[in-house]
Amino acid sequence: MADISATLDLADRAREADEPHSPVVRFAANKPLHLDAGVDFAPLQIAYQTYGTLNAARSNAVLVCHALTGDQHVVNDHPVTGKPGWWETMVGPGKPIDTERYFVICPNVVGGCMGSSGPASTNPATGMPWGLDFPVITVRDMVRAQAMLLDYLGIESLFAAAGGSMGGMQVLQWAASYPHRVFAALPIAASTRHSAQNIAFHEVGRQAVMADPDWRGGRYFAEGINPRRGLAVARMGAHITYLSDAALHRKFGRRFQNRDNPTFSFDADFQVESYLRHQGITFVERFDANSYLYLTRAMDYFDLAADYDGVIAGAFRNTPTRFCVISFTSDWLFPTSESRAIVHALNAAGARVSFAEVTTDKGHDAFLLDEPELFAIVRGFLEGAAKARGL
Amino acid sequence: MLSRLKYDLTMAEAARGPGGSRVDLLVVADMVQPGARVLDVGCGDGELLRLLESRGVDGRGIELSREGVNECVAKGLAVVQGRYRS
Repeated sequence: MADISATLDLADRAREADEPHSPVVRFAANKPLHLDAGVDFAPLQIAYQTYGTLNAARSNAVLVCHALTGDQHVVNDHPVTGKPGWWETMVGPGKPIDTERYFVICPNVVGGCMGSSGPASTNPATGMPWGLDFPVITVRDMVRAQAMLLDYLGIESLFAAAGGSMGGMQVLQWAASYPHRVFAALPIAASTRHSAQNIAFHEVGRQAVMADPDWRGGRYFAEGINPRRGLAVARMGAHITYLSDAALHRKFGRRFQNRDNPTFSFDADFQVESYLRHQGITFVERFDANSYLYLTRAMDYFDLAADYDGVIAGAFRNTPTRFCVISFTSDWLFPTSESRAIVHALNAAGARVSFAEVTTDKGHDAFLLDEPELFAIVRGFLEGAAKARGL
Repeated sequence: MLSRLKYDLTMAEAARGPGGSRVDLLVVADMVQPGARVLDVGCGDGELLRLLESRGVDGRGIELSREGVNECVAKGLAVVQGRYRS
């Protein structure tokens, strides 16, 4: 029974990788994506969602960059899980990123598994999923691909780029790579480089995936299986890093799950165990294990200063972009100190920058949650920027 | 001259001018040329910065209190949370 359901969602997901429930741009073979790995990747496919209307001047576009396990389905129900979009608190009519004023674009990142080229996509040369034959990609590659999408859509300059976590990394890369194409940048809970601790957590996740015998050296698709257990464990570990001790205590404490006493077994006695198992199980329904390897790798490789002789400010010299950097008090994965480093660099570069730290006990994931202070800041920043842009 | 200014500022602290701005802030704003770049250290809720920006001044702020900063950013001002040293 378990095997049948595994095969079913595997087929669904494989379809989603090539023929997604989203608009898709398929670039011709002579329009490759130049990758940092030194590879020209073709044919490139980008799946994306848009919300709102592009104005006549084409000046109100907001690029939303999704995080590691996010996708382009920002404010519509997810085509695989049926769950609401991942940023419905932030984006939509009357929301801080107001789709009645702005034209919101969210592409699935390169390396993802929801319709943009990635390891789950079919390699036209073999007719099989790329698997580990897919080239290793970087955050800069993701951004380069997004720039190709904007060229295709005829959008020369973004009003704003916004995103949290890996999305915030993309926002910073956008401002560094294409300063004249980003009027306002909103990196939330982000950093200019992945810390040693964060690389370490990612490595644990990757090893969990690769230790699953069903991973088969990344060729599980060909064998009709899915390394569910490995990916679920990776997700469980990562999920802890997105929360905080205080939030876990508030939500679960040491409470038992549907029982009054310990069972003296390895069942999920505690609510927190049950919660994590649920997080792991639901994640593998919608996410590709190889994509998880590639995207965590891209985050690990991210180091904006490395391209500018180790000086972050070099990435933003004479930037015309205005920035709003936001962090959360209880985020220990991308702590406030990382955001302050961004702000120092931007100040050194003479950029127009705002910085606010939002008080919350919800940890890194706070950027996805109901945080009124966050909404007020984003709304105010965008309103000020819109006025300056004449929107 | 300076003591006269100080006197004016003290007297004007709580008073409001015709536009609703604090008179002391209007006095300060009058000293700044449009197009100038100003750093307001301890910018509070950003009232002076907002006044300066309305006059074409490129204003930035630093504010220690988180509430003040968040109010400023929500007003669209370029304000960073921290101390002058940081």
